[in-house]
Amino acid sequence: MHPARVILLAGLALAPGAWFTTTRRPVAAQQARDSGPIEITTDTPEYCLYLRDRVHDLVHLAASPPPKEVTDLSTEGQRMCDQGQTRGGIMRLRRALILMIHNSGTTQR
Amino acid sequence: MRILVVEDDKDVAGFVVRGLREAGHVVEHADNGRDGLFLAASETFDAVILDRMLPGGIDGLKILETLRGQKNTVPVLILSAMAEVDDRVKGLKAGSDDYLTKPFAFAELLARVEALNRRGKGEGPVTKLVVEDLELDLLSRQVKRAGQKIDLQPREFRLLEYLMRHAGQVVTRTMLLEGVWDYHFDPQTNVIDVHVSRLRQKVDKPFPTGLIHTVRNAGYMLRAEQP
Amino acid sequence: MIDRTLFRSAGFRFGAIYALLLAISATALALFLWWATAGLLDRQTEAAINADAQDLSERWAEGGLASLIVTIEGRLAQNIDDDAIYFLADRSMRRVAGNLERWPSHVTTPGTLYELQVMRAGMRSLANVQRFDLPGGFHLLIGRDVQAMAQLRRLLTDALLWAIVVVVLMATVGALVVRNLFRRTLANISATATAIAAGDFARRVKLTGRGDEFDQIAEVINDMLERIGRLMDGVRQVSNAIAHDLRTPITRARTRLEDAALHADTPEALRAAIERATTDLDGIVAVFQALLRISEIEAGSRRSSFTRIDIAPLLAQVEELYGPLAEERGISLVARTAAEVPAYGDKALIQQAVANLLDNAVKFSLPGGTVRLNASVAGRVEVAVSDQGPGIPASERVKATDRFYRGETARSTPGSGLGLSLVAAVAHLHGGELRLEDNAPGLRAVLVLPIPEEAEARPAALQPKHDFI
Repeated sequence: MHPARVILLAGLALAPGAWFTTTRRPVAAQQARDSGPIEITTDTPEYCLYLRDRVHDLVHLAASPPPKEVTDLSTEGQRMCDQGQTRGGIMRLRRALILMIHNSGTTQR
Repeated sequence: MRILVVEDDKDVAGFVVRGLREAGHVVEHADNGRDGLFLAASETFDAVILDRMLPGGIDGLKILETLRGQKNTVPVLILSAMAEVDDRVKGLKAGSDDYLTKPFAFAELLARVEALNRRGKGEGPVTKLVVEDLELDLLSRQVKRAGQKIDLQPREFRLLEYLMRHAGQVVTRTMLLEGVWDYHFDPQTNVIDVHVSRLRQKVDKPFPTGLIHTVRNAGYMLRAEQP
Repeated sequence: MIDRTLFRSAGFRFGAIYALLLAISATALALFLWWATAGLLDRQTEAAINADAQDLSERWAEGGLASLIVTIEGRLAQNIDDDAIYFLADRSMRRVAGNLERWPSHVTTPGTLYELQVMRAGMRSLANVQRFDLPGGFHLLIGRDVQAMAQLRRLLTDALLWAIVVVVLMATVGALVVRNLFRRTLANISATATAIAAGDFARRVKLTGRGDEFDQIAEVINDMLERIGRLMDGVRQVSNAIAHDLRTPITRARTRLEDAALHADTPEALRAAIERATTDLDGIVAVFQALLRISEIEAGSRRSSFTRIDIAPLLAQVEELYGPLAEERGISLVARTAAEVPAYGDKALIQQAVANLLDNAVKFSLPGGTVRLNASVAGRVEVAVSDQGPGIPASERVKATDRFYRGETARSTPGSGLGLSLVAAVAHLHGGELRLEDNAPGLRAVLVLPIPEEAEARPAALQPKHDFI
């Protein structure tokens, strides 16, 4: 086949690929112009406290004492929150919560 | 014969036309393609002598093709300075009946044109050729003169047949070579003469009159002897 | 100003084609990689959001608003990856549950993925969110944080773009290399051609010895050059011969006419002189015809109309033509030919060649001598004509096929000296040869032709293995 035609076909074959990868993107926001970023409320010190309370609730409700891990995690988490490392603290508290849920056998959904 | 000559060279044309008229024919002449085609298409001729190279945009082959396209079957002899075998074949394919290269001997031209006349006369299937007391039977391949059987070799038979078919016309050596041996080249020795003289030995010598005559500077002719 | 000739250069074209193909291949690869990684991540996010939506709508269907709120809060509490975004709003877009401060005003159409700028503990981040409208006028926003993915995508895009730049550079360099390679290979051929055009006919294209396509082209070109050289030699020879051997009869004719003009005193004498001059001219014309014929044969164009033929009947014909003449001269003509002699070629040419040989044999034989015509097929087709005449001395046999060669013994016989030359030309055209041997006494001329199977198989244009002169 004529080389020019081969190249043309190859180029055309690329076009749908290029279209697929570049156009199907989420609709970009005008948001930046309008109102700026929205705050996520689960990354705040208040949420830390909320999670800590939830963990304590489960601990009190539990039949047996909580595993050491749970205690460690929640203490660590609270400490980090107090020190301002909010997201790290929240993550540990969440882990503690999940452990407690699984431990106690209740499936809280 | 009524002959049309289409030839642009003045000298050659003059020579040919004069020669043909002296031989007793009625001759028309055109010196370019257009006139030649016009004349050939509008009048009847017994033969057309056509030069291949003609001025005026229409060359000899084109004239020939046009005539044949109009179902005009007038016998045509092509004159040409082009001697290549391919040219000859091309000319014959275009519908010519004979092809003669320049330079040519007038005797050759005359002989061939007159032979065309015989060809044009659509005789129908012939089984016997007769000239005076010479009989040639094409079916039984037998030759008799004055009632006597003559024994001929196959080639001698064909030679005699050719001469008899052109009885009364000049037959040149070249024509014989082409017609009887299918040989289109000029041998350097006079091979044909020997064949004819052999034939004469068998056909003429034992009898009182000769039928096969030599025409000086031209060739041979088979006819009854003039009284 | 881009030089137009650059674009016409085949080397440039080859190089450009190479570069384009490379660039397209690289781009295709890059696009595929992008699709497989960043694209995949995008699709996974969307799938996760939809799965979530499915789940939550079941909750809603089962337990109503309260159940949904509890589910949302539970999910958020256990969201270790810290990437989930939920916002349940009432009719007036007020918050009922979820972890967004407020409903993003630009997210209006359900079912479409939106980008959302968010703030996490003082840091900016990016999320993809989708809106779902619930019965009862409630609106649910579900999303995922895609900041990490966005960064990865940026990284990937940059990397791939740079990769393409590198590839384009490499392609350009490669294109130049290909073009130069191309040029160098052709330079050999074009340099030879230029030298030849300037007049150096002995030049030939050098072969690399690799036997590749360029070598094949070079071989064909060299063969063509050989042939041109030979033809030009032939032309030169003919010009010499014409200058020498034709001037003689022309001069003779002219002299006779001049003499007659000056001295002929009777019409008969004049006529005789004119006739002699005509004969002389005819002789010259015959020589020209023969020369033209030989040139036509050597040019090779007749080869295109070659077919398989049986030359046995042809030989019988020629023998029969010369029979009576031989007998007349007291020469015995003996023919011994195979019943069938298959050959591949032109009937008329072979006929003329054999006739020429016979003609010569009969012409040069003495009374009482024998001329033999033999034809046999044994690996090759051999047609031999032998006579017992003076023959040709061994030293002259090579030159015998030259145009216008006439041995000393032949000076007195009629003929132009072109006969053997023509036979040789016909032999070579058919891929064979003319062998001249001593018949002790006399000459034995053998026309050798290849058998049809062999002749047909050989490529047409460049057959002759001999230098014919």
